[in-house]
Amino acid sequence: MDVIARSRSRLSISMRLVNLILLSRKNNPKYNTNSLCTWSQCRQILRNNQRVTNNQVRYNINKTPYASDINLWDPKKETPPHEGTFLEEVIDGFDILKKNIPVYKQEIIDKFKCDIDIHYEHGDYEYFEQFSIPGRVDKWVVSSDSDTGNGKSTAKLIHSGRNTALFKGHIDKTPVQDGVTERAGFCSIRSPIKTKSFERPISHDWSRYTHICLNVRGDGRNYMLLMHMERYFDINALDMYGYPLYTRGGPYWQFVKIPLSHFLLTFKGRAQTKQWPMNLAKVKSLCIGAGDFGGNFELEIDYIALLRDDTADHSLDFKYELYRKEPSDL
Amino acid sequence: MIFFAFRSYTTFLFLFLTVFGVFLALEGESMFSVWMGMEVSFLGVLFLISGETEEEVESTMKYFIIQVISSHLFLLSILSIAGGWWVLESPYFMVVSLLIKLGVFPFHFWVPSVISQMSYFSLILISVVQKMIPIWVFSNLSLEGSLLWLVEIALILSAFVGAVGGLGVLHFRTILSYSSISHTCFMVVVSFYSFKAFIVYLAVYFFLNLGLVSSLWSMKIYTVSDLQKVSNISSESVTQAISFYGLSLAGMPPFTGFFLKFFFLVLSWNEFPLMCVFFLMFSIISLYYYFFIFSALSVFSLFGGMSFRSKPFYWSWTFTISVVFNILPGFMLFMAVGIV
Repeated sequence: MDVIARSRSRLSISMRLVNLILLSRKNNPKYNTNSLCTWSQCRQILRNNQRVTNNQVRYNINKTPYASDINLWDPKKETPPHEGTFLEEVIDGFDILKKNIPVYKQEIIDKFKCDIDIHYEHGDYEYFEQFSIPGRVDKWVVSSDSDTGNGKSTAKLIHSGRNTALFKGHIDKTPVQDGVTERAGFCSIRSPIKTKSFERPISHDWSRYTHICLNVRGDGRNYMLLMHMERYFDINALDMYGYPLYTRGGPYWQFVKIPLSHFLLTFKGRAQTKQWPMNLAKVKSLCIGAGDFGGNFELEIDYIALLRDDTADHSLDFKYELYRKEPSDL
Repeated sequence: MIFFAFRSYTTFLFLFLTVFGVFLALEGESMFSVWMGMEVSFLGVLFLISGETEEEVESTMKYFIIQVISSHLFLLSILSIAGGWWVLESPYFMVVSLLIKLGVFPFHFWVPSVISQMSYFSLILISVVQKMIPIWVFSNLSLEGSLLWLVEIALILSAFVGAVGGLGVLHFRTILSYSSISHTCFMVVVSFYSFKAFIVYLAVYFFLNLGLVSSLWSMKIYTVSDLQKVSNISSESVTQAISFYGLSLAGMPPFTGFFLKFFFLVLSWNEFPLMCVFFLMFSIISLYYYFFIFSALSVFSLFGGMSFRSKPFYWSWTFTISVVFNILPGFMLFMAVGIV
């Protein structure tokens, strides 16, 4: 009985101590403590329901909502912005029907015609993107780490005036002081997602090609070519196959030819131990990324094309070894 | 994948679970045992189809979600029948859950997206083994009135989808998924006649599919572009042998697949004449992509396009199996029925 009474009193003392610590905070906030976080990373909920980290409170840093790579689902964020009244949206819907019904009709006719070229030959090529065509530059999406509040880099994709696209910007490797972000400095451009009628997304089918070719003029820096794969679930939605794009710099154009078998499986840019050949029929979009260096950058792109080259080495194989990693190998 | 499947004892365990689940459902005395067998078999299949690649895992997840939804609906229908609630609606719940499980219109959307990313071994499991229990339930349901009309319309539209969906597709697994949708419709109608007739149909379909996928798997042919890898003459002989499966599945005489269509007609003509007409019309459309399999494998595997030069014959086990599955059983089955 004495032992139990003593343990109970110990418990009550420790609980009192915890209460003392919690109540000593001026605002008496509700703490969201996570055993994996340090104190500076723990988040408080202020009276206006704003969530800030303890670090931000301590240093009186701009009290914007914290940014991290763990984005929890927020129903308020997911609501798409309304650009007009309900009636205007209904009228827009009829316009969409008017434009897309002929396209859908043509798709059905093409499906029944089945006029597909199944004979692949050495030398077959296809332009994936030609920036000399007006309006193509505006279709690409530019992004940087400052869009999500994770950094301060800026980038843009503009017409160079020479019928080419110019991807330029500034990479700032200083991470944001929010207690969560450790690294910063990334900009990218992404190709438009291929859609059929009624804006239904489909994937590019590159299974007949073996190489990707780019005509670029860089600044001597190394960029990254990333291919987003079409995935259904968000757990592997960030599967990307990447390969570096080495640029020479200088005034001369550079023809880059990279075998598609050389692309490495990455997840969020991190190379995976377990590699697997890319399914060339499920490519969602192509991304060119700039990171890993600080300062201004410029990359001029003329065109991006796909080529079938049967004479190149390993043109039809996957470059990387497929082996199973056993637990004892770790 | 089939090599991997037989490499460890756990694979045998899950294969046993799959088969045991089917027997549990077929031999059980109550609807709960049917549902239990369905779940046990599904559990076994789930482990077997989850492969090594991201795409296989994704297909497994999609398949899991779809099958769980349909199993819940099936269980709801059983409980409502047992409990006496929703007496008018519970047969509809059951039929809808079975249609979801089988991938029949309008619940067919998961079939191509799941099967096109799976291994060939998983394709066999999904398109053959997992059909047994739902169709067994169908064969025991005494459908009549509006429910029968609903099922007939769903099957006709599903046959249309199976016929048209495979047009213009260059990936063999996607073509086989649409072929599976088409053949499922035939199997369901045959099961209305008797379950034994369905077993005969399924057995023949299983062997044809097994021969085709094991041959394609051995040659590592997944799309038309993989045929370019066929570079030596012995491989060309093999691909030409594999091409017989295309015509067989299409139902061309004198191949074995023709027996399937004939069997279906003989059994179903009196009861469902309109459905027979529609199914035969749609099978003529699907003949296009079966013929595409045949021509791609027999003709276009020869680099340089069509070639009529006579080439020496190279014997292989694949050729033997192709002849054994495609030509001989046809004659034997017709002799057994008493036609030849």
